[in-house]
Amino acid sequence: MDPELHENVCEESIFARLYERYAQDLHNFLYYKYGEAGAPGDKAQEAFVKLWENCARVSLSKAKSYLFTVANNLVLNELKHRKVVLKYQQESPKAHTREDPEFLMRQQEYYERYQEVLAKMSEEQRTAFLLNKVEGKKHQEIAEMLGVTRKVVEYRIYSAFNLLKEELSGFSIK
Amino acid sequence: MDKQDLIEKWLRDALSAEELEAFNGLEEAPRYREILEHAHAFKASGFSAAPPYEALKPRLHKRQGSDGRRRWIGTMLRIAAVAVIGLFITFYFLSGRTTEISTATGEMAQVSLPDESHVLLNAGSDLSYKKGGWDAERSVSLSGEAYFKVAKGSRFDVVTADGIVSVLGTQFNVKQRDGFFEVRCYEGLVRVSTPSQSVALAAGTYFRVAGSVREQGEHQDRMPSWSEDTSSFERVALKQVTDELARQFGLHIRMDQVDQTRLFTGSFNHSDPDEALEAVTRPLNLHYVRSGSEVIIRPVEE
Repeated sequence: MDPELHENVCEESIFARLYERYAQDLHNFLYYKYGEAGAPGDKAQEAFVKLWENCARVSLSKAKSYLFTVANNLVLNELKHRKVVLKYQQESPKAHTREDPEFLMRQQEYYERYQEVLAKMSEEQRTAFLLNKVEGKKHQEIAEMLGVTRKVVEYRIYSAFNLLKEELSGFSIK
Repeated sequence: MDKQDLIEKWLRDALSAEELEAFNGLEEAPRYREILEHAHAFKASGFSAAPPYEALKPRLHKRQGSDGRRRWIGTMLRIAAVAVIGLFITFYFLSGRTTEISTATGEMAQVSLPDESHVLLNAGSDLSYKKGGWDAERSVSLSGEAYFKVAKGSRFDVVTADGIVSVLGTQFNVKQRDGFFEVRCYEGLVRVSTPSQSVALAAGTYFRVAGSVREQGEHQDRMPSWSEDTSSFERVALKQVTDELARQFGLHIRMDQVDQTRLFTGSFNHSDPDEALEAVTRPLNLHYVRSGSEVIIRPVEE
């Protein structure tokens, strides 16, 4: 192992690059897992502060998994402490394109139902599903973020979709 | 190819041209596509985003501090860091890489350790050990449940969050799940060390810590029933039993007005979720409703 790797994270230009590269992913991961109540932006930054404080001990190649592990633990500690039961975010999406009131009503109904199902599934299923299908992350990449195998990620996406398709059966906007 | 396989492959983007045609032929394909399409309405960036790097900067420098004490800690940390790196390098060369095995819901895995010992890993469990450094450090880490058949004359430790189990050529089962730690010995002798005590277990005995309650006793089993696709419980809190149901069948179980600490004695088979749910709820005078993977358990109404 090259000891210089450890110095790298402490160098501000490299640290800033790590931030540009992973801050949004880290935020999204926390957001999908714990919703807005988990303060994803703040927690993502806190993880980076921890990385900065420990930069001498974390190699560049380990920085990513360090960030995700630390961020996840930060939220877990807090939620345990506060005993917050998290709900999925309550805002309805602002995607009204047509003015037809019946269409708007059906759309509203569909999204509300969708939101309920997302809230109902396990945080693991929701995180894997949304990171893959909304953020377009590869299975392998999600597996690294979550610290599980690719097979586990695929299973979570599949079971999340199964739940959605069952709970949304009979619902459609089109 | 059946519908479930098609959906599963479609979600992985792994459909061949012919399979894609078959998928498109499904009556429900447009609805499935619609579900993925509308997931985008929940995209994080629509509501919330990571703050820019500029916003992080003040937090970084504030934490660095300039008083003497902090500097001293910084020096100590640097020394500690060097020590940690040194240890890590030594460790790295001595012990090689860690082998990790995880099982998903409803899945079991058979693992052979470097000394010919065998481990059967129950659903939703993780096991890891160092292949390269096996002779230097004979230990495996376990989170979940596993059945060990240790080769004659072989010796190693099973490390869990709730205690360490030391073995010498035996067969035993370790279950460590969320506030519940149980070791059952089927053959030979094992030693269980928890933070507060150390106990020797002979064949046909078990040791259990459930919350703050410790218990030691005898059993008649020759191997754990789960290795034959049945989960058995003897006076175990209902919560542990429903957690196991959830792991074996991939269910989400909610309990409504049910005392989750009630003790359950009995078993369920891993083949059919409804039969299993029935086997658990009926004796406790409970009632369940299942829709897909969602289950709600309630008391039977008078």
